[in-house]
Amino acid sequence: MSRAHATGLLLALLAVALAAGALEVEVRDEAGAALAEAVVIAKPVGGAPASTANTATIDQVNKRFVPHVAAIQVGTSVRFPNKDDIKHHVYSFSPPKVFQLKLYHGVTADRVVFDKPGLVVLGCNIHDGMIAYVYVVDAPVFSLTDSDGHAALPDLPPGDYELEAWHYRMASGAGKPSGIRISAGMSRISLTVQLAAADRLLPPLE
Amino acid sequence: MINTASLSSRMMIFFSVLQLSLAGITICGMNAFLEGSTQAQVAKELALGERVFSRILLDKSQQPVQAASMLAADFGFLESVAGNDEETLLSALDNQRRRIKAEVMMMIALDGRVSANTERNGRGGKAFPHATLLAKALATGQASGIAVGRHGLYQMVLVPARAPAIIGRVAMGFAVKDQVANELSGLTGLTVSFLAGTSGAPWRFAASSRAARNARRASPSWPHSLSTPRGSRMRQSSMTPA
Repeated sequence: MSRAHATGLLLALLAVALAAGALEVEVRDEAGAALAEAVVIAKPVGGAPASTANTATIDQVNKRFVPHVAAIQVGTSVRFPNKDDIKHHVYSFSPPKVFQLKLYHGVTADRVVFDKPGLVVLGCNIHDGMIAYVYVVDAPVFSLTDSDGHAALPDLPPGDYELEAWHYRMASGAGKPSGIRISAGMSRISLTVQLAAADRLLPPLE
Repeated sequence: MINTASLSSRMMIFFSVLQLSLAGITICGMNAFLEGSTQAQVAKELALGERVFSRILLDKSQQPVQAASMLAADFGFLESVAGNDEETLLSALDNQRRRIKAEVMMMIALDGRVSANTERNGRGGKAFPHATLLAKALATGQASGIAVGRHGLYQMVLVPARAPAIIGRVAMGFAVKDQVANELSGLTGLTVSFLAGTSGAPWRFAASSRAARNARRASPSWPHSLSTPRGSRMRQSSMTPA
């Protein structure tokens, strides 16, 4: 965290006038390795929770959820098409959204509206190796890091934001506020997150 | 004549004494040798038995761990864990306990607190009492060991409950009874006793093989060298050649 602070402060001090509204965030673990599939959220300071009526899709392909990690805004309705030639039984027992889509083929399953913020872990009742993380955020601007650990937050309206990062290998289901306020002129920020031991959260890989 | 007789009798006495001495030395030597080798034999048997004993205990823990893992993966059970309904969770735990023929079953939340306990009629909220086992389960995914419970000794196994991320841990305790000691005794050729004790209280026998029970009956003060346990929740197994 101190590193994130330091980097953030450094960047704030060195800030040159760059195009306001676009921010690139880099997420690394404590060992310095770039973290893919991290969710980066810009929360407006003092802003009201934001929701949407957007839709999103989480596929099931070759007994895997695609994508493995999804960040969606509160209110998003998600489709769960099954592209395998076997049935799946998608479920979540996570408090923000408990649901089950019992054994189905194709696109017959109902859409699911994620109406509360927080982490929802998806599984399949008949395939233990299937797991997906849906991070439901109540802020308007968020993004996922790519394989280099970079996420772009475009279209950031002017204002004060606090940056938050979450990764599925963190011990907690909640994102960690970075303590960094995004100010005008910032273009790049580096965040460090602490990961839990791999076996705390993940089922064994198949 | 007298001289001759006296010489022969002196010779006879001399040889008799010599023979007796030799016999005495031989007997003493043999005794010392036999005693030494018997003790060595006993020590060897104990060491071998101890290895077999530990191995069997390890093997015996595999089956409960596997069975517990199967039960903890049961979808209906996971649904009841996630359901936030204490009474339903407790009855589901008790049902699983019956299926597996365990003595006690507990659900441990991610924070290490017991959320339901079949032995205490469901009253959860306290920290899981066997901290060492929980630490091992946190570090390696699962754990098994012998624990002192309310009604004696348990073989306690801890396995994760996944939905599909870990939502808690299931602890199952199987009573360690005389039958277990008998079985171990039969396989190791040793008398086997399990002793349980908590801090400040003397050791008590939790389970014993037949030979160990007989030995205790024959000599009420046996064994003599057991001290009061130090620290809480300790266990010891005692073994002597059968």
